Amino acid sequence: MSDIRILNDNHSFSRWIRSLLLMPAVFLSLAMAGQNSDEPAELSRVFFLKNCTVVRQPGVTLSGQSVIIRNGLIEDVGPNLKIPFNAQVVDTDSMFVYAGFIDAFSNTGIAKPEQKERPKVQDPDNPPMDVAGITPQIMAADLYKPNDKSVGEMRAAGFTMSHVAPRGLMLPGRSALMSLGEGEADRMVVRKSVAQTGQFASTRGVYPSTVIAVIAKFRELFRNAANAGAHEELYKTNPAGINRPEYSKEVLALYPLTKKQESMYFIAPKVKDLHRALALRDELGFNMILAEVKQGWTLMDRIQKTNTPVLLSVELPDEDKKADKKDKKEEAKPEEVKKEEKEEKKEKEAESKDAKSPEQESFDTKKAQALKEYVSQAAEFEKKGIAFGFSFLDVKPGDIKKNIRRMMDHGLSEKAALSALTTYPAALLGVASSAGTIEKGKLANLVITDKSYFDEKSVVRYVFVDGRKYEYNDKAKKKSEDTKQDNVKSIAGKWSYEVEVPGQSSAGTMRVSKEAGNYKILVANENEPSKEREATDVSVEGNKLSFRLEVDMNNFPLKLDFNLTMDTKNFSGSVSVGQFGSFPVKGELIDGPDMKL
Amino acid sequence: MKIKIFAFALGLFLCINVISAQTGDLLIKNATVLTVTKGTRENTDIWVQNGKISRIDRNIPAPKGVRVIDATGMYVMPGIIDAHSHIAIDAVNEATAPNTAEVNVGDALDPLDVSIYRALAGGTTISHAMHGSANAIGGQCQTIKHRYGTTDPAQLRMEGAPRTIKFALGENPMRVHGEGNKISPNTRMGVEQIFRKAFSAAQLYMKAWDDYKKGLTKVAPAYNLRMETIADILKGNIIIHCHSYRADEILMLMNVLRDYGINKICFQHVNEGFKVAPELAKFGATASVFADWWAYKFEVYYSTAYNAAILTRNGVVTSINSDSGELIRHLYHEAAKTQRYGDLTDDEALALITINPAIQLGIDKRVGSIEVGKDADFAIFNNHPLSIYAVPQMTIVDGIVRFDIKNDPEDIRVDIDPKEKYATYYEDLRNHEYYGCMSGVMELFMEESYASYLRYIYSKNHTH
Amino acid sequence: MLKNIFILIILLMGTITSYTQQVKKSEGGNFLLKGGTLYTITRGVMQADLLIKDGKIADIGTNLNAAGAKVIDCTGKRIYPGFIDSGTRLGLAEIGSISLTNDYSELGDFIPHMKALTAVNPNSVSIPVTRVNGVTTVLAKPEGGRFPGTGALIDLHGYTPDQMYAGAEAVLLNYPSTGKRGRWDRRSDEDVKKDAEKAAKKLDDIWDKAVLYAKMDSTARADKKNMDSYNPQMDALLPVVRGQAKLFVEVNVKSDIESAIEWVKKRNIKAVFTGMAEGWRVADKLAAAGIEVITGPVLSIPGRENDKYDAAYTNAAKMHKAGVKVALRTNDAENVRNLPFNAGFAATYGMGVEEALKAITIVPAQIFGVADKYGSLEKGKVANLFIADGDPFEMKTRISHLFIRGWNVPLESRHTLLYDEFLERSPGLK
Repeated sequence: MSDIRILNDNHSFSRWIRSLLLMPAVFLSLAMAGQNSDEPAELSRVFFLKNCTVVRQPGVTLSGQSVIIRNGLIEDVGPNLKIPFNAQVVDTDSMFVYAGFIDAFSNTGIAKPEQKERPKVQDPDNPPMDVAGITPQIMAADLYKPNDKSVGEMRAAGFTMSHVAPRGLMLPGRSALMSLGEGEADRMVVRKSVAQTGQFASTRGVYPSTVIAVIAKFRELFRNAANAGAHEELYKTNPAGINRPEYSKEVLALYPLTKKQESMYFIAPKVKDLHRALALRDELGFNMILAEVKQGWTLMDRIQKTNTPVLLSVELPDEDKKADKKDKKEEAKPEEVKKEEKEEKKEKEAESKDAKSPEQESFDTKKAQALKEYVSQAAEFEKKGIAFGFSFLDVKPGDIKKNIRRMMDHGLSEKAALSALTTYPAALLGVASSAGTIEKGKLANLVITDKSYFDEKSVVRYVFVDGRKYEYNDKAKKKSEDTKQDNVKSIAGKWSYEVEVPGQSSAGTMRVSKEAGNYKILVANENEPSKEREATDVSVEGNKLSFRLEVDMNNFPLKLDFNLTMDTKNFSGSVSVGQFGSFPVKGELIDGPDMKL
Repeated sequence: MKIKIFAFALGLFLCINVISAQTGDLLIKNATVLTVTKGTRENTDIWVQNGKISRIDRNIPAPKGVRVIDATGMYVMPGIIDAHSHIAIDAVNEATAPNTAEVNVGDALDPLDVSIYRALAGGTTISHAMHGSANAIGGQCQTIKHRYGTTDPAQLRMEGAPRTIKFALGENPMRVHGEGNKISPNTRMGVEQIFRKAFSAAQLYMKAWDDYKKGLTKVAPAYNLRMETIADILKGNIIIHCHSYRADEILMLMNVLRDYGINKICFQHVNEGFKVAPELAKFGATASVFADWWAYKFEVYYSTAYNAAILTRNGVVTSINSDSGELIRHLYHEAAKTQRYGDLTDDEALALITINPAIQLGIDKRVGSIEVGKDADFAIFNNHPLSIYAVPQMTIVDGIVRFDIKNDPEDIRVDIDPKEKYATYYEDLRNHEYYGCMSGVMELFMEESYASYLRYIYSKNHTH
Repeated sequence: MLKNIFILIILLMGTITSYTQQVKKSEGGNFLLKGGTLYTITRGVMQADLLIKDGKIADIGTNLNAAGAKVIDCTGKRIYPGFIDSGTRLGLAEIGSISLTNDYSELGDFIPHMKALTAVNPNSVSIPVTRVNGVTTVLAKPEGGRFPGTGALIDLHGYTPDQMYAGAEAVLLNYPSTGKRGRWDRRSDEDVKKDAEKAAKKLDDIWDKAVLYAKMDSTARADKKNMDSYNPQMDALLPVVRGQAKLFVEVNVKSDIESAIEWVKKRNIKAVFTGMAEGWRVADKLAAAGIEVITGPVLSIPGRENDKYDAAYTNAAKMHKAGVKVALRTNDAENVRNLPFNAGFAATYGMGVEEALKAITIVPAQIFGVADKYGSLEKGKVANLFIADGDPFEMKTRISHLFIRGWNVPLESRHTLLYDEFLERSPGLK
């Protein structure tokens, strides 16, 4: 396999590689524990958690407790419990036991759709429903893959159930509540059909291609679904003199929504999405849960008055780099620190040379204020007395705790944070009687940490899903340190790309291979996947890849210069086209040799 | 220094809060009041209560607790109204079909757009946020009030303003659909048939629903939002604003509308309106034009900056619009150009950006002139607004000061991206000639060639 | 394609028909402008007669000997020197969306030898449209690429480019920019910087070569030898490299301007900076470096979202106040007629009427090196001037006469002709 070495001299890059390393190591150890058939069979499904601190529910923490788990359920919890004869005793001395976290909304276990050749649409006004992004009949439960990487990652982060939605555009389909254990997908289903999902996302080039058309389509579909359902019911009662109902599965799938027998989780991150979503709900009259809310603080009144359930995004904008650097410095090696200090000095010199103008002061002040607002959102909701859960569409599982801690630094209470991870989603998803707290008879879904979960340095040590134990050793970190010296990364493989231009975007694939020591890059647009163009001037420096694509457009030669920053599974960057402009481009690894670490 | 700035930023924050809480009571003292409809009144006061003009008189005693604006030496005119713009919306063109009547840019209002503040700083208090011109029947539009400072899109909406819809004739729909998608219309003949087909189909659709409502049929017809919208036009519930340039196509649309009994129509751009001014006047159509834009494409090559004057003199209710985030900042200047090109009087020139666009948007009972009972929307200038030396001093919407030159903050953005880097400069793209050079680029990215390129072009604000 | 050709044919026919109409021609000869108020620009405002003879301002004063001159009564009127727009596509662009009618953007990145004068269309419909507002002279300039070509100063009257040529050319450079190209340009700041650095390096390479080429050329001339290669690009740069001509550097972003100041200093180039949207941010540095500036359009949107709404309106004034020599431009084609209004806005937003007038008369004349002939009402200068009934910045003001090189040019254009024809249409409705 053709690989390139990445010199580990860049600070932010080293951070990147470190976080990257954590995941697969954990994943590997699990895979061995769970799937290796050479290991002896499980002795029993009885576990005894000894002398631990049990957080029974948000705000109720009891120490010196034990927990008995039998056949997937919590048999007992309390002090001075007797160890059952057949129990496997788990050494949880001084550890913290929480009800397994419930991910209230995410795409966990739902693979990204494969890059298919886009069907040629004859009439852009009437594309097939799936091309238009209207697939309310799709069931996430049918798409769920228990062995998807994201499942293991969420579990390692302490989650035992995920409410997963299909991926898609305006109407991706029905969500499902899944247990994050291992095994066949069907067996992981907690609730096969939870709700519809929606968002203001549109496709390219065909109707609906803009937010205004998406909203119009919502209106029309909703109205037609109501009519279709009524028609079907009428026909069932007495078909005489009535046309046979002929409705698409997409339209019929929305009927329960119109009757309020089903709700819709609506992905609405920013302030305008939120207002638009609520306006749509108010207009059409259906039950809506706001999901992945990032900028909800200006709508708290509206949300509160209408009792709208809300899930706040755990993805947060990054802190300023400088602040970050200071934190990192403690961990970094002395020579790194020196180097950084030098850099900082340079920066400072540059700054003092070009002292901040009042304008920049004002800009920075406002920006800092904005950042604070994002990070304080959860605390503001709590202060306002609005209960909320969390959703996890955009956040990397490895960042979840870090980000929740940042929210807590800005005023979110531990109780509210824990409730957003446990009791709120349990109630919202209708599983409060079996999950969300640690009680006799509830599912043995637990997460066990060495210190309080909310402690900065806490580590997840065990996760129980339906009474099955997943163990995480804290050597993972050490291992990653060891391998750090040996970072070898490959960019070979097949990548998808998407070029963003205003109002439109274009996608395709990029194949990277190494031949005779040189990289070869072939690029093809999605509409003509067979026509690959070979790139020239390919250069790879660290994680930066650049190349040129020369194209002849109606006898007009054009040079496209790509500058990409490659990550393990995705990349981002820009493509500039001479003087004409430059456009952001991003992509993902679809099919390629695994990263070697 | 830092503290001062922070205090300033804080002050700004508070000030915005205060704005949305203000009751909209004001007393403007001692101004030269350009009422537009009822002449000019010197040394006059305007009393505003709850956002409405309650009294116009000399020496109105200052009511207790009401903010008094000393306008001595200043000119107060009605808030400027722009009958054609694309600011404050997140989507302009749904360019996927020649008829997309059901979409509504009012669903995609963007209260965070700084263009709103910039328009206010030019005295513009109301604009008509329009769908683009890619489709013969484009989307519905939204009349907005420039209540900058809010984050709620609904707050921009001018409550009670009639519904409007964008139509488009000529090159744009021909290029997007005919040349681009190989779907009719490819000519002005094809454009006509889009309208006839839409109106006729909507008539059948209405009949099907009537039959159902009368109990003649048992099952409701399939609900079609596009047809519903066209039906509302037929019922006279929606005012058409039609992008148009050439005389022949203007006449064509009037003929079509006559056949379907529709009479609410404002022609937009209408660069060759001057050629058919008598016909426009007779039909009762209105015209919203550029002051001096021409020659950017073939269908505006035979234009004249005297268009507004010829139309006005022939009895057509005419306005001057911006169709641009730049021009919307100085419509008073654009209106004044009609004094060089066609000798309009002061009141005639001012009417082009106040009462006339108000008529075209169906909001003339509420705004467009300074009269008791009307909304307290004003633009206050230090010189006569038709003078090149006029500088807007204060802009008032519903009795609330939304722009004040004496309190113009360093940075007026409402929504700040916490990831944005300081000092992002955007090159002025007018110098980059979209039409010429972007074509190759877009074709390349899209590979659907022209269609996508055109959809791109028309998804931008460059739709004129 | 067929369609394009068809459009072209229509276009051609259109041009022909419009010129077969009865057209008033320019009137030559000598003219005595009597009793007007002269806004001389360089010598204040005075009450005097002005004599036009042989295309020049032959005399200014009272009791002028005007034998044989046509007398124009200017009582109560004002006389101004013709306005100069320091950056346009006039004559090079006809119909915006039809690329085959546009001649300002040649292919290539390094093409300083592309000469605007070659492609100026004396019969562009936009030229008479421009004249009616008192604009008599413009810089017609190519666009696009690092070195887009060489602009030409032209008078807006004449039947051949040579007749129109006003004696100055401008070698143009687009300085590598760190400005983003619109909102969708989401290159990282790093990438933007890298691109600019790459471009800057390329620019340095070009300039190194140009300097070397100038040396080789000098030697060749001294030794009466022929250069053994054909290098029109380098030839075009020779006058700039040798300090005989100015380089017109298009630059807008603050940091780019700062870098450009350093670059022209290091390279010892006589430079005029154009565009200069953010000149106000570095006004003092510009003044200290003695850089001349051409900026505009004044009626522009600010370059940054957080800029004040009037950033573009006040830009020229701020640079001027810092001591920078500032000329204005519209950067337009069909609407160069808005030059006086752009100057009017600059005047209103801090520059003052007098200085704004200079910015479209004597200052550009000085920048282009033709102040001995253009830019003011002075004896001996080219008779480019107009007569107005008031302040030419005011929209209400009417211009009654306009002279270019002494020709009394009719104030008629497609726009006025259509007005005359359609104000009262006959037949009307019948």
